[in-house]
Amino acid sequence: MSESRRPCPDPNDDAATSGETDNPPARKALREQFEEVESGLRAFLRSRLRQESDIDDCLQVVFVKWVESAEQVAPAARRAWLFRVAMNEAARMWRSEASTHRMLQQRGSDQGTVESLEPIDRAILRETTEQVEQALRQLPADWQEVVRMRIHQNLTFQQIADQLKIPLGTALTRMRRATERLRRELDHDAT
Amino acid sequence: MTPEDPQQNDRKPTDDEAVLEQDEQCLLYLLDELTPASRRRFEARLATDRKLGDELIRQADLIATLSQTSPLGDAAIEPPRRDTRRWRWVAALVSLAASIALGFQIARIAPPTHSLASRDNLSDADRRLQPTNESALFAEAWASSQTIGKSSQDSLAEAAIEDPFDPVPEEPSSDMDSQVSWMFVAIASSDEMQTEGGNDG
Repeated sequence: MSESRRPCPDPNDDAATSGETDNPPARKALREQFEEVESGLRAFLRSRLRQESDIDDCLQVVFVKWVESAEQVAPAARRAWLFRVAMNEAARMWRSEASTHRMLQQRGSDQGTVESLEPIDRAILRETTEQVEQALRQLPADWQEVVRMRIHQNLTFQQIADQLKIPLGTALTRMRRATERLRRELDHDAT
Repeated sequence: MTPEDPQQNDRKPTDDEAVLEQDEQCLLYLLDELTPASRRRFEARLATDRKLGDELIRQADLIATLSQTSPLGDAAIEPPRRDTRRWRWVAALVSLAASIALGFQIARIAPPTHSLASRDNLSDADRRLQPTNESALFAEAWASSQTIGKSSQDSLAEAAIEDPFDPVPEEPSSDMDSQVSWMFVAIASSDEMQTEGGNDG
C-alpha cells in the first residue's frame, strides 16, 4: 500500500485511460468534473475503507470508469453516478481486498454502464429502471414535472421555480416528496 | 440562486426536522445545489457519519436510476383522458343537435307523402320507384334540404362528419336497388317541389 496520497490517474496517460476519448479538451473536462466531486467521494470512502491507500485505489478505479462512461451519464446525475460507483467499488474492495491491479484488470468486464454489464445485472437494472418509471407515472403531475425538469433537463431548482412561477421551497419540496415516494415504492416492491 | 442551507438557521432542529434536513441535504448535495460552505460542512460530516453516507447512497442510487428513465413528455404528465372526455361531450352534443335538426326536417315533410292511402293510389311504375319508408324519409329530407337552403345542408353535413357516435348502422350491400332507390325518389320529389315553387311564384 502506498503511503502518500495518489492523485487520480492522469487522463492524458494512455495506460490509464486506454480506449477512452482521444480528445484532450474532453479529457480535461472529464478530469475537472471528477475533481469537483473527488473531495466528497474521499470523505464518503473514509467512512467505508480504513486505509487511505485503499481510498486512493478506489478513487482510481472510479475515475477510470468515469472516463469510460461519462458520455452516457446525464449531467444532473453525475455526482449520484460517481457515488454509486464509489460505493460499489468500496464494497467490492472490502469483500475481496483486491489490489488496484486486480481491479483494473477486472474493469474490462465489469463496468458501470448498461452496455458493459453482465446479462443478469443488465436485466436487474432494466427491471429497476422500469419500476422507477412506473412509479414515476403514479406521482402527481406537478411532482413529475419537477423531476423531469431537474433530472432530465438539468435545470436548477431556482430555474424550475422561475419557469413554473412557484416559490423555490415548493419546487424543492416537490422533488423531495417525489424521491421519498419513489423510494417507498421501490422498497415496497423489493420486500 | 442556490437554495438556502437549513443549517444556517439559529434554531436547533427537532429530530424529525433533522431527518428531513438530512434527506434534503443529500438531495441538494447530489444535485450540486449546496453553497460551497454548506458543501464543505456536508463533506466533513460525511467522513465520520456512516448513516449520512448510507442515506446519500440511497439517494444517489435513485437519482442515477431516474436519469436512466425515459424523459417524461407533456403527454405523460397530463393524462390525455381529460381532453378525450371533453371532446366526447362536444361530439355527443353535436350529434344530438344534428338528430334534432334532422327530426324537424322529416316532421315538416313527412305527413302528406307517407300515408298508406297515398301509397295505395300509386301506379305500378311509381311503386317500383317507391322505396321503403326509411329510404323515402332520407330522400325527402335530402330533397327538402336542396330547396330550404344551403346553410342548413352544410350544417347537417358537418354534423354528420363530426359525429363519431352515429347510431345508424351501415346497410348491408346485398340489395343495390334499395340502396340507390332513395335517390330516384329524391330527384322526383325535388322536381315536384321546384315545380310547386314555380307555380306559387
